[in-house]
Amino acid sequence: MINLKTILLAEDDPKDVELTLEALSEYNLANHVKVVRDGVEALEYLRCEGQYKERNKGLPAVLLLDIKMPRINGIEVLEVIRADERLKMLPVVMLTSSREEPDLKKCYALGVNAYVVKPVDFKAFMDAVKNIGIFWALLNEFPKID
Amino acid sequence: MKLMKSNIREIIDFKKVDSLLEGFNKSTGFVTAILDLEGNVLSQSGWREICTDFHRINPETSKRCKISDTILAGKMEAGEKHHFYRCLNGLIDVAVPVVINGEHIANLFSGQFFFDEPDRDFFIRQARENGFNEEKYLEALGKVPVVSKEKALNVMDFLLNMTQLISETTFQKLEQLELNKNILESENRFTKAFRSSPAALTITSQKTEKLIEVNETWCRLFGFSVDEAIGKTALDLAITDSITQQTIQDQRKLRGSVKNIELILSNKSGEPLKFLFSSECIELGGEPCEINTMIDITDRMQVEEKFKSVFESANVGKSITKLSGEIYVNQTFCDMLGYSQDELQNKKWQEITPQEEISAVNEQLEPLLKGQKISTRFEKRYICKDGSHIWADVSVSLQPGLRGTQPYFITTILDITQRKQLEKTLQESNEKLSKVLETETVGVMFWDLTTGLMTAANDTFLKMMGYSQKDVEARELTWQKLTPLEYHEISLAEISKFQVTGRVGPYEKEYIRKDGTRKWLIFAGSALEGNTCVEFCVDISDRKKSESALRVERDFSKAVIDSLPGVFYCYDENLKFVRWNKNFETVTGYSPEEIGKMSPLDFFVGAEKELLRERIREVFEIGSSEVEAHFVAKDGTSIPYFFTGVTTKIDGYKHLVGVGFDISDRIQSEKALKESEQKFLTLFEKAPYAVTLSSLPDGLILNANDSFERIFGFSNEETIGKTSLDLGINPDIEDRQRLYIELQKNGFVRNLELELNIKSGEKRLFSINSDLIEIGSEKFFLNTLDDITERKQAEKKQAQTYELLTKLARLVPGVIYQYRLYPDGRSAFPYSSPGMYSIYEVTPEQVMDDATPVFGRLHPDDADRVSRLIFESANTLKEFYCEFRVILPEQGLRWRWSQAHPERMEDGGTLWHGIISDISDRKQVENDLRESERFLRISQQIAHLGSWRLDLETNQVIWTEELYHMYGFDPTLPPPPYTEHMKLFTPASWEKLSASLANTRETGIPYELELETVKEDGNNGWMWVRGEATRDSDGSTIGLWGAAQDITERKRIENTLRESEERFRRAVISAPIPIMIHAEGGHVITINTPWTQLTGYEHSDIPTISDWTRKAYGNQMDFVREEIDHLYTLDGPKEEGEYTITTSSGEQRIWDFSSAVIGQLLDGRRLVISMAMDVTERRIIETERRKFYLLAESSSEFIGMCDLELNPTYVNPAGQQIVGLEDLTAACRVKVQDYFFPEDQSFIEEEFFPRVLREGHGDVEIRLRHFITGEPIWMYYYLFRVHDPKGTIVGWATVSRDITEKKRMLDELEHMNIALEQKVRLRTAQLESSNKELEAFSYSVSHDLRAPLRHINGYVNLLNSQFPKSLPEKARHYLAEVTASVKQMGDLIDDLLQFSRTGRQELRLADMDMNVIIQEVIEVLKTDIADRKISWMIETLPRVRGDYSLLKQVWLNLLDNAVKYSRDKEEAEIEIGFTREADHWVFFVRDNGAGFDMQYAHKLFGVFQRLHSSEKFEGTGIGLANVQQIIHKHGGRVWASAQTDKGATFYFTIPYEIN
Repeated sequence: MINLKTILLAEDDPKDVELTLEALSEYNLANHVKVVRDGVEALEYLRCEGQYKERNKGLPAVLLLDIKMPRINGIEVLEVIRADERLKMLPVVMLTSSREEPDLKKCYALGVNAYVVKPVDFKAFMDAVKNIGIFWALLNEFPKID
Repeated sequence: MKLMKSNIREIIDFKKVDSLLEGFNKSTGFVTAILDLEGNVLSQSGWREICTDFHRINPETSKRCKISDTILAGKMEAGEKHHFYRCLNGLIDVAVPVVINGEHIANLFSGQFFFDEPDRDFFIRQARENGFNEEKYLEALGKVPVVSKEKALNVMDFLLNMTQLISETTFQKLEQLELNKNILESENRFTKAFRSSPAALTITSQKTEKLIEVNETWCRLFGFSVDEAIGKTALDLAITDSITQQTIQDQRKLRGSVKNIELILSNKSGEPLKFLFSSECIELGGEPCEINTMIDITDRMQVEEKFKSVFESANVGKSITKLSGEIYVNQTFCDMLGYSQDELQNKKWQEITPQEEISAVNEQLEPLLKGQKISTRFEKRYICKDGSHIWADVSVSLQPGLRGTQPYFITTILDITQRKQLEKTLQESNEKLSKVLETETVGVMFWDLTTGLMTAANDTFLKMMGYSQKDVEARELTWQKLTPLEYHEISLAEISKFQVTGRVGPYEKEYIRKDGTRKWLIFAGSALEGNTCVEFCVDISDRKKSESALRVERDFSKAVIDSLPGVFYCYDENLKFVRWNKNFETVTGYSPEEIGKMSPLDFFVGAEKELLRERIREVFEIGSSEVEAHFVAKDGTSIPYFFTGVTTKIDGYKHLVGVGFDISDRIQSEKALKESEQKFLTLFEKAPYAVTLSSLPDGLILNANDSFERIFGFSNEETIGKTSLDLGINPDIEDRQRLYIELQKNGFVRNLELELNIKSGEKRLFSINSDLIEIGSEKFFLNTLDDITERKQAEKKQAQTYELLTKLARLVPGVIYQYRLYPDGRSAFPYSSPGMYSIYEVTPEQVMDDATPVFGRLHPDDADRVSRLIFESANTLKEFYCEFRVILPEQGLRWRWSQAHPERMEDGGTLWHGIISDISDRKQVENDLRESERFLRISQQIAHLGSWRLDLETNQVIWTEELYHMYGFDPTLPPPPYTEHMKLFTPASWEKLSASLANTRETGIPYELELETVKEDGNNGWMWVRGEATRDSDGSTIGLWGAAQDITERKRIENTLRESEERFRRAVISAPIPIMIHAEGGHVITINTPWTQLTGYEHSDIPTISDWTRKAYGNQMDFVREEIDHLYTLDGPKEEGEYTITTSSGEQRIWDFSSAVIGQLLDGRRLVISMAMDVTERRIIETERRKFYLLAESSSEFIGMCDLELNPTYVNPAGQQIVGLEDLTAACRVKVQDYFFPEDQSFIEEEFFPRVLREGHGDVEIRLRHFITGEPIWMYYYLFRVHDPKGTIVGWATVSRDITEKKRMLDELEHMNIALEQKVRLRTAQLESSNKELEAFSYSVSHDLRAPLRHINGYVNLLNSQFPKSLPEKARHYLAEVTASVKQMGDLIDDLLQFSRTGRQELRLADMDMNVIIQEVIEVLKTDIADRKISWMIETLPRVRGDYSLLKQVWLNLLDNAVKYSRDKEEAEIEIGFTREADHWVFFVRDNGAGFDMQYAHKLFGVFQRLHSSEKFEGTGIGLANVQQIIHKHGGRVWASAQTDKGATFYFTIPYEIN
């Protein structure tokens, strides 16, 4: 088994989390998924702060980031990541219900790596999430971080 | 002059004559009596007793006396010089006629004597028959003298002469009285004409410039009395100043007279009056004088002057600019910039021009300097002294420098700051206005075009049309009602156009106001919902009105100018033509372009060029001039022309306007006329025989020459206009008819001898030659009358002489002889009549060969003298005359008298034919007469005659007492010696007198003279003198005697009257205005030179008023004739007004006539003087000025004037209307201040007026008060000073504009702007907040609504995939339904989000090909239509500009719908097409599908609105809402038309230009 890096999923809606994990489980990626419930928690995880003080250092393979989240929303999280020297190279994929143009623009301006709208159709949704997981967790090469 | 017979007693002082005759009777024994022709005894003296005591007492004999008297008187009447008559009572009577001035008025009788001893027996018989006392009767008879017939004759001659002398002296007195009367009458006539002339007339001395005469009109106008004026100069009276006086003097020097110049003179109270002044030089009594005519034109000028001033004061600046930049400017320009003249004079134009404009100005000037242009015009700014800028309209022309100096610019500057500001304000307001409301500038109305009804309108529109809101509410106003019939068609066209384009106008048409009047409006409008529209309109009536007025004026003046018979031209002071008529081009042969480049001087050559230059200068200086010169055409032909010129102002600049007329014909005919006239005149005037010119057929004498006057004694005045019958020349009707018939037959009469009467009544024989001649179209007689009386008489006499000679020879008491003196000294009487014996007592035969016997008979004392006289006569061949004595054997000493005519014989000897008679008796009488000279002296005294006698031997002078009185000497002293007499007379008179004296002394011929005497007191007198020679017994002159009468008084009156008459006659006749004097009945007495000069008619052309009216008035003649006939009944002067007369050259002139009756002719016909002012040129000027007036009258601006006390003097109709005044009188009744509102008064009086006073003009926006409604009227009020030509401020004027409407609009606009801005702010705020809400909404839709859907979907899928077997069939069906619902919900949300995004999305405009979009859309629909049968009809669509993705969305929706709703059709038909409109495209998509019910059409484009069930046709109901939203965003419209089951058509428009 290939040593897979963690996929960080920032999603507040438990149904979405369940359905996302369901989709990833098809390729056995679900075990590598770490779910955080909001932006604050996501950042704590990335920076190894708070409850994640003790976790193994190292960045996840990709951050799947929902926009609409309590406390700090996805765009704000993205902004912080791209401003953080240690975090800025982290691949971030927006996984959101919003197809609003301003959101899209803003995210790309902040250097998002991909923007995926969650399809209403479940099949389509499953395909999308699976593809993201395979691409970022398995196919994408990432530079070594010192 | 005829003496009335009843006057005789008055003429002759018979009492004095009585005493004279009495004295004569006493000294000579002759009795005398004077009886008039009726037999009345006028004077008598010393009648014989035999008559007084017997014959005239006894009834029988007295009857005989009467008969005798009558017979004797009758003889006298038959013309005998004297007659001896033996009365029925046996005595001899003698009578001589008393003839005064050729008229036999009485008879002088003498007589009652006998030639021979009386027949005593006859008288004894007579005594017995009549019962006289025989003794006493015979005693009386003895006292009757016996007198020789010769002596009686001599006495009669003497008496006759004496009576004659008395009568003539008396007659002179009478004649003088008559003369005085005539002169008085004439003087009166002309004095009256002078005094009553409606023009002011004065006569001034040229030397002293003092007034000699003034007339009533002058006194009335100037306020001076005659006494105040006479003897003063115009300067003394202060009616003029020295400058004006100098102007007049200069004019006189220049042209010899002054003609119609305009002057301002002051009256007594110093008021200035304007006159038309003319002056002419004349000579009065040897002194050069001037006659001045002044016509008051103050009133006439005032109005014109005002208008002129208004326009002159309208501020035109002028400057002259050197190439170096220095400027010289006028006051107006200085005023504009606020500088003084001095301050500006040193500046360059660059200094008063904004820096940034200098190069632009230089650019304008460059073409001038390069000679590419003559003038240029542009707008620029100037810097004022205070630093502000004014805008100016500048015209610049380059003037060449004179005599090598640098050229310079002439610039005229018009201040257009006001205009610019106004323009700017207007532009700004327009911008504002159009920004907000585009077309809603004035009237607004709403129309329902289906019914044609006006549904609403704003107050502006209603006010414009005179309607109220009530009329609109009553729903009565249709466009058909408001539009005149002739505009219906246009309106219908506009409406149909409107239904396609959605727009109306702009177009102009007339609208009918409520009161039926019309108004010009300009319209524009646009569509509202359905078939309704809104229209906007502006009132353009004023513009239309002035447009048409201008057009009429322009057409009219062009027509007038082009129809002028001569050439018309107008050019400015630079001699550049600005206007000329067609004729000018025709005559000169130059094209308009060529004329435009020429100077008027180019049309003249040689010396005339200078003359023209001079005249043109005169026109520009004085105002008018005229000249005759040769007009040279392009081909070199030169035609004599008469040119006139007057100045007029065009656009504020002086221009010369004039006309020219071809006068070739006139000059030629003038020349021909002059020549023929000269010939005729010489022939006519100088002919030695009488010549007359009479009219045919009435025979009026139109002309008579000097000889006529000399021969017939009728003066020209008496003759002209009369017939020969009137004059009594030819009273014989048969004679005249004979003459007339022969003339008619042959056209002439030759040598017809007729006896005619001359004035004195004498009949004379004339040889008459007449010719029928034609002058013009009229026929005349030319008659020559040669007096052949003398010739005939001579002929007759000659014939008679021979016959009579022999008879006479026998009858004469003496001898008729031929006496011949031979060269050798011998002499003989070759023939002598038998009387020889009684004279010399020798027989004819005795002296036939030798005259010696005769000489033996001569008295020794006389023989030498006789011989000497014979030789003298022989030498000089002068008449031999001698009185001498003979001593005869039988008769003793006798007196003889001989007279003989000598002729030279061939042998050198001399032959006399002569007569000798016995004069012994006469000599006796002469002696007696010498005695009676004493009585003559008495007679002189009686006749107030002085007399004198000069003894030539002693040179002693004797004066009668009368003469002393006359010369003013003391009668007790002896008279001055003859040598000192010359001191008594003026040198001229003395010369005459001494010559006459010498002549009388020499020849014995008496003289009669009027002499000017020098009196000691220095006052010269006049004297009538008569002198004759006195001879001694032998006939030689031994002295002179004479009579003298003081006629000083007569002369003085005569001279005074003559001078006065002359003065007034000259004053009237030489006045420089045309004058005609005519008499009742239409006889033209005289016309003066100006009349002839101006009309071209000589007096002979217009001898009667009929001739004048016919020639001068044409078909108006009857009317004018009637007017003239009324003049004779005038009792004062009358101003008749202006008439147009036609001159002989056909020219029309306007004359202003005035007339007055000035007296009567002797025959009672009234005389009228008619004077005229030629106002033709003035009328031209007036017409020009009138244009200014019309301009003011027709202007839509408020134009008004007032005097310095702010009393309005003029308000134009537009002004009156603006403030609601009914007429000019009403406008002038109020003060200027009353036009303003009380609350504005203090601003007006304390701020505005002082500003205008200071700066000359000023403007303000202020309200005027409507006088009726009291409403405020906002005016742009411009006020400026008005100057008279001298620069004195005479009042104020305003040219103002009603800006109420604009003001109101601006106010409203501002109001609306504020409201609008508020609204916009409100709306923006609303929009902003709703936008935010919308954003939030769509956000939550995207997130919050989509999430649960996804979840439902996800879990259903999980159910299906994870429990495929455990779920029953029914549960799987439910799950399938859940999935379908979730999908529909997802679509709804997606569409809704799309719709909301589109609404907020900015358009991304680009050019695109619609055809490409269509193809792409069809490609998208491909899967849906794969199994469908669709017939596509797709036009090739145009390229449009729009948002690509949005338009694609539109087509997608529309085509999707078309495909969807047509799917029930077996074969669907879908048509895609477009139309092209004014500013947009219309695209449509038509299908033959399900269609829809049009009553729900309005719901079609609403969100979630569906017209079909989703079961039948799926869809969200957002597609069309989205289409509408996109099309509206593009500025287009979208609509649909359909019918259920018959398909639908969807239209949308895309504008060409998208804002």
